[in-house]
Amino acid sequence: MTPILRFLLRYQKIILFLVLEVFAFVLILNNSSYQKTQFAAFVDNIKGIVYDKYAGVRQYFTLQAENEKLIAENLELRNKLNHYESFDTVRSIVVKDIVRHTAYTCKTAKIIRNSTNKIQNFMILNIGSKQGVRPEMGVISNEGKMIGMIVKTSANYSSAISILNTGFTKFSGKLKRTGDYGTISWNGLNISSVQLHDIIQQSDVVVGDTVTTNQHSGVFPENILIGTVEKINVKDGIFYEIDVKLSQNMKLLQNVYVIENHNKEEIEALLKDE
Amino acid sequence: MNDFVKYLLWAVCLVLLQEFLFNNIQFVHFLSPYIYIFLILILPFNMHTSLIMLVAFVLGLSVDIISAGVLGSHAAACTLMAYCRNIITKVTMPRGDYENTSTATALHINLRQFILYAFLLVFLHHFILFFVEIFTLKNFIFTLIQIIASSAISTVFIILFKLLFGYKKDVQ
Repeated sequence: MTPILRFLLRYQKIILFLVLEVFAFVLILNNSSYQKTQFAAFVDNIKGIVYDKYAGVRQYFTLQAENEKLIAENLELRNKLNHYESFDTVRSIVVKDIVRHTAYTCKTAKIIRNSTNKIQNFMILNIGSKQGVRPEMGVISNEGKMIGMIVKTSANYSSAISILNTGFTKFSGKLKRTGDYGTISWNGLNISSVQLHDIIQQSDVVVGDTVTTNQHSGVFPENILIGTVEKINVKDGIFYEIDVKLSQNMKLLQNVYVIENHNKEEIEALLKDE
Repeated sequence: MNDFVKYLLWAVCLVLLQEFLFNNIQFVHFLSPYIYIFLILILPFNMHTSLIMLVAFVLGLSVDIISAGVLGSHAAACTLMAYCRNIITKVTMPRGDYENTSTATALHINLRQFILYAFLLVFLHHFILFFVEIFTLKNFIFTLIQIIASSAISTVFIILFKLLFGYKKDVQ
């Protein structure tokens, strides 16, 4: 037996241990969030089928509460409709105008899987690329509050990154009253609040201010509710770090809307030219 | 039954249970039990550590792939757990009861020994898993509390498994 072989055999446990750990950490450090792998779409589809059945059973038990929510939503929409119908003479103009400028349309979807117990949380929705869902579409709850963004689609399902995800900092928010805007991220400590960064300390933000989406990313329309200011932390430097209490209870999500921005590509093309 | 088939069945059942049942259980804000590591605990004591590590790595990787998270985190945690299994066995069962028969597994040992053996290994696994997932030492104490609490919950479920499937007083 050659010495090198003897060495390998003698220390095989520790060598194998190191090889496996190095391999695992290469995967981890590649930041290979599972969502990015090619294999993911296949597994998602299979998981989707199982969770669909599971969600079907679960939804049966919450029908009552969901119905009440839908009735409330209908009522609100009807009230709004009445409001518009009262502009009888200008109606056709208004409608035409709305159609031309409506950049956003909604698709209804059901959440069949939603995690809140991880550091990086995702949701799985029961509509996918066949139904016209594409990555970077916004997701709002049926109460009209911002909750996440689509990151990956398979044929009939899609996964959305939840606002409760420490690995994602692309959401942006603004203070409705002052108009200041910044990025929204989550520090992973509390599932009922997220953090709003990059608000300069000269801003006259107060506890209780409303935080909404802004249009800059093109993912959400303006003024979709996110939450209210809960606590203002003064950090070193020139920015505040603001704790925002989420308006949506992230654990109670079933019916949601996926928002499509029809002008997104046009706007992005313009940005590219700059 | 052929041992290989038996443990393969265990692995498939545990991974599916983990994904479709236990990943949906959330007691408090992100305290969730990880029970699939039960397989690593119950592999025979006379199995070679290298083989256990390979099994553990594949097991961890399959959980990584099925559950959406940081790819590789479960694999890293399981590999460490498998590597340390022998040491923990020697510490928690110093009398060497487990060497009596060639096929003795953790299912044969008495409950008091099993609890300590399981908790220590589960803790090791969770320690790596949680710190890899958040990848920061900020809020160290908070994470540590989470790890201990999650380990306790996982261990409770694992003890239930042991009570359901363990042998009664075969080797003692």
